[in-house]
Amino acid sequence: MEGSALANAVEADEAVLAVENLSVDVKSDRRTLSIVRDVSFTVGRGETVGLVGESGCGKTMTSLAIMQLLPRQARIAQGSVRLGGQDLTSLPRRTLEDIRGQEIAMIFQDAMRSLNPAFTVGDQIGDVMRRHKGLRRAAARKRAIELLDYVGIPRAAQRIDDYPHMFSGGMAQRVMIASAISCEPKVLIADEPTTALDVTIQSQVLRLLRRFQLELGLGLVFITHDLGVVAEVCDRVAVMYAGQIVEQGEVVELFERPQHPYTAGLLGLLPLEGRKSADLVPIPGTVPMPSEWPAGCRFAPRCPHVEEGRCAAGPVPLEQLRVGRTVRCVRHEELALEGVAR
Amino acid sequence: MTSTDVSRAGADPVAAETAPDAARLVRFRLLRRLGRSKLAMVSLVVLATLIAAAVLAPLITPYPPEKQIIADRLQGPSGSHWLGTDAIGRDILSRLIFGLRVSLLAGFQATAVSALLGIPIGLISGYTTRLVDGFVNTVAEALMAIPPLLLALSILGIRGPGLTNAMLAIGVILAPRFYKVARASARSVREETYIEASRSIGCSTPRILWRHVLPNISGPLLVQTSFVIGLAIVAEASLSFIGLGVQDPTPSLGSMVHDASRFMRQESFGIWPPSVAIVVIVSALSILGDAIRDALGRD
Amino acid sequence: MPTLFLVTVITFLLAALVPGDPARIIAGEFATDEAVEQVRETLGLNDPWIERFGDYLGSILHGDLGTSVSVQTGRPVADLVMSAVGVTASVTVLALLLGLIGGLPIGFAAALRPNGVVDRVVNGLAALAMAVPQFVTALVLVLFFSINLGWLPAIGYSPPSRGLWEWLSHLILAALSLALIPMAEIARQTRGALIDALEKDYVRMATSSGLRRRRVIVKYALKNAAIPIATVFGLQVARVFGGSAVIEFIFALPGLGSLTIRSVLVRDVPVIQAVALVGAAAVVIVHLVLDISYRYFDPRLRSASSVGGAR
Repeated sequence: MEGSALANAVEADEAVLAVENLSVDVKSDRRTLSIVRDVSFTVGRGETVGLVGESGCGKTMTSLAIMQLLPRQARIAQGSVRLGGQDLTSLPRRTLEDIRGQEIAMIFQDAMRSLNPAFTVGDQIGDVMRRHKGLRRAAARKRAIELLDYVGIPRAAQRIDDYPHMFSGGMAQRVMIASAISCEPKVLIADEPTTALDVTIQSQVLRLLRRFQLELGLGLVFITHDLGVVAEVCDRVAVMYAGQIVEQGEVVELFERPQHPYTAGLLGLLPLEGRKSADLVPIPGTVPMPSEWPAGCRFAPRCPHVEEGRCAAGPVPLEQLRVGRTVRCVRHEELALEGVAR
Repeated sequence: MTSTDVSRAGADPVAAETAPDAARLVRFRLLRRLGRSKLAMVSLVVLATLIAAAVLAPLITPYPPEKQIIADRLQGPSGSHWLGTDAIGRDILSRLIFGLRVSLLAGFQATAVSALLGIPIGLISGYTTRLVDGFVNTVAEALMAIPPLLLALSILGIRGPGLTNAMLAIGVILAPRFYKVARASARSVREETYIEASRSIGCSTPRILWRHVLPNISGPLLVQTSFVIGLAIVAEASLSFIGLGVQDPTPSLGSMVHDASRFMRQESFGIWPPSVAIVVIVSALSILGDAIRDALGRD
Repeated sequence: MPTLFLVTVITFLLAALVPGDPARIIAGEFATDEAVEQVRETLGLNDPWIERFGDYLGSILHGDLGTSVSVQTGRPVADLVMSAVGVTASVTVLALLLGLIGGLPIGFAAALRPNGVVDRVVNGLAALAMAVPQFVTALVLVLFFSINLGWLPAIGYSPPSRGLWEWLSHLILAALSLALIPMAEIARQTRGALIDALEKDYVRMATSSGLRRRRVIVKYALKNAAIPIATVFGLQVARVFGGSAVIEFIFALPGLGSLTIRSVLVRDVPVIQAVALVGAAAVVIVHLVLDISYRYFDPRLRSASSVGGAR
């Protein structure tokens, strides 16, 4: 069991969410592929942990696994997801139905598709509250209006009876957030909540999320491919590549002194001031499919610092540098990778 | 849609002109994929056997279908009559094979009529301006609003009963299926670049329809054909059952069921051979149609 | 509405397809030429086409569907149609209801566990059922329930006034024969539509908020699956209406179908036209109702939906 929970946890006992050695398998064409391997991280109260990586690295699958919402062909191969002491992976469905929405909630990338076009937003938000808080219809409606107002939707009392398609993308995202926090969960997982939005709307939504964190003490798992957003929102971050965590730590430290070549590569792509577009060198190669993952270091084929003998030899273990700081690279001590100042 | 290879011809008119050969390649791949479905292969074999039996009918039937041996009427299956005899002593097996022949022929002919009606109109409708298309489509919708069998009966009522008229009527009521498919495909293909390329080098519309649009939609059309033949056979059987299709003494699967049903209380076996035959043929055709659709879909 | 108009045009044109001279047919084989000409004048066959169509349309709108020439010579077609419509409507509605009652739950059950045992059995049976012609189903049912078991009468019709059970027992076999294929189609479509809906993002969102599975399926997925199911249902209406002709023939039910068959056998053109018209009208009305229901199921289709303030 590599990279045990203790190595990753900042406040292990106080963590609201503790993911430990999570692995997810997927059945495809009669083969079983491992698409997430040994992912561990913790989220503390009021803390934002980022899960960063390019598409195909397994971050969405990890989030679905946490919620126990994996699609039919996928299953959790091993590991645990502890929410306030309970391991979600071993709970029966009915108990999970109680926990979801009330203790842990999730928002998705495409708000318009995540809201049912056949029912009003008031109906949908109301449903969640009627379910968990046993509110009657009138009370739920009143509360829903308050929530819409809270997330910044103007004329909430009129908009409550509107259908999702009558909202713009950014507004729909807010509606989804309202629904997710309606029962004041302890943990919120946000899967690329701002990726589909305009830059201006993006910062509005991010500010909204931050606000809830402070007001509700929410633990936030923020999934994104954009390190720039991570810098804005997250306290800690875990970088994922090819189904594994390759580096984890506090944002400021990780940005200034990255230990893994992939992280450094991603940082090199940030459009910072003073950087001309010619300086932005993309990481060569493309993200491999799960069926093509090499036995040794999975990043080796694209790594500028690769050393054939050592890097491809065998699976690379996750090393702990100090509490809450880990890296998966055999050469990290030798490399002095370039970071960025926040 | 089997437009993969053809559309890669891009805006090159010369390549566009040779595109139909690419369509043939697609068809070959289609056959290979079809081969992988066991159910489809079984259906194909069953159909082939039935068609062979129908074609060879005069050679393989033990008795002439019209021969009546009144003394032996309404017998169940026996050594000399494998499927028994009907109410006037005719051998059911022989009548079945001939009936198969008539029904299959009727089905194919009706399908041909519906294809000849539906495809050209559909192609033109899908390819021309919105206005013409809108008009044609509204007329088609009106025709499709009349319950199909009623329409067929109406046509028979006007023109009189008989197999030829029945096939005409069935052809008319099934034409909308081909019309819809042809129209939808023509609509989508219309926007493709290689069509514009062909037009730019002076290809006339009929030529474009023939050389480019038609091969491209051959896949979905093939799927429809399979289903339509099945529907046509059922329709013909229904009409013959009422007595408005084939006329005595010509056997058809439908009329055989009718004959047997009149004596159901005494000997009910007679309704099974023709009924089972119909179900088998139509099932085989549906399975084939589904399999072709699946094989095309994976393109 | 334009559809209905075109339907009247088509039914009008049907008469034009009659081979031979309608006036001569009516006047009789031995009539003199003057007599035939007389009939021609009376029927208005010498008038220009537009005028004839106008007359046709006008009389339809007044409820006059012409006069029967051979089925029951002299009797207004509208009468014939009215007395037959009730029977056909009963059988058709019953059949469609049975189709829904049978098809929806079966498709539902199959969708809950895709590719499971129930699903594959349902798919196979449905495919088989669609290959069985309605008259075969009818005969098999009669053989089994009427001849062998003697539970239900095989032929004839009994009006509801003479007892509800009597009425129903005469109709049930007919309705079942007509219902089998729609049931199979509806089951298939329900399964497909429900599976599609259950894979949608909004179902995932609803599940992630902790709503009970049953509620998610029944409230969230079902309403969205309703439209394709309703569409297929609409297609079945025309099929069932047409198929009732053969079924009425088998069960000796005095409905529109057997009326049609009788008039086809004696070439009674006005009746044929009228039945086609009525049949099409019924189908059009059903489609109209379905169209309205679409708007209920999918609010995005409601034309008045402008985007609220925040675009």
